[in-house]
Amino acid sequence: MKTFEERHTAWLDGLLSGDSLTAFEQELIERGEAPTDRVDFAKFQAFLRTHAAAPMMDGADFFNHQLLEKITAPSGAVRPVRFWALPRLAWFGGLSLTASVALFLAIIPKKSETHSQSAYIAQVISARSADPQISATAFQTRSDQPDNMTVVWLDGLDYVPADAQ
Amino acid sequence: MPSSLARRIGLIGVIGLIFIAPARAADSQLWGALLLGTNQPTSETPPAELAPYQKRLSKVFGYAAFQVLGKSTRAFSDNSEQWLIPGKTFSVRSVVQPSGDNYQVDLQLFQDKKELVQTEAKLGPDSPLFIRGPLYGKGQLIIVIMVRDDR
Repeated sequence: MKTFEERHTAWLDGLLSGDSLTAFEQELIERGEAPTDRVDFAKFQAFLRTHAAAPMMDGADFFNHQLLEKITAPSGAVRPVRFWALPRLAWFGGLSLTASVALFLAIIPKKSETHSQSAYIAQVISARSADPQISATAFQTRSDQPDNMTVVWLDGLDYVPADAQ
Repeated sequence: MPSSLARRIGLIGVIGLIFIAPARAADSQLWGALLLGTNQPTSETPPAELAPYQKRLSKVFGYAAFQVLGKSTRAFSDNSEQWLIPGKTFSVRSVVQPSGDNYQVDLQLFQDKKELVQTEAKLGPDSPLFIRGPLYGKGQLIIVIMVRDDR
């Protein structure tokens, strides 16, 4: 059993006849729709066929060719590479970082602070002499002052004549 | 970027590191000097290493002037034995080991073949240790030991 829409389409197209046509038009009347709609539709269809023809395209072959190329082109087609592409930027950044580290290690003085006089560090942990005649004493002068110095003081050494050195 | 270029860049980096590392290690030297402190006026200026200590030397040792009788410098590597010979009759056997920013130094001071003193000290870079030696002529001999760090 065809639906109403199918039978309506067939009725508009003039494909119903005989009992089918009579029964469908009776159904239209029962639904409150005028069977004369079919005549209006036929007029409208004839109007469209007469006045609404599709315009002819110029260069149809070229258009078809372009369309076909876009459809058949591989997805991984070669694209032009920009100079500042991401991989090149990454390499440039890495090289810049390496050059910066190398310059830092080579040029920047690492211990410039320890070269100042305030960084004087000299601590004697032990001082001894194998000779019992010699005593070794270590001391630091004014360790809280910037002009301190550490001395290992030896006593009991023999006098050295002036021409010995 | 071609992988050959990446390999070349990596090789250059490795070579750079190989040359930078020894250059830093070789910057440290053990420096020694034999000073004579006298009260006789002298026109000799102290070495640059001891210029900041001129006044302190006078205060501690009681001499007005100091002249350098001899100097000796040795580049050292970790834990290796070095001999400094600042004077004809004085020599210093030393073993230096870096300890953080400073140096652990073991010293033996000899006069001819006689050991005068054996000392263990912690020295900072460019921080001299002074050893009061024997009386000499009309003055006093002083042995100075210092680690020079040019890093």
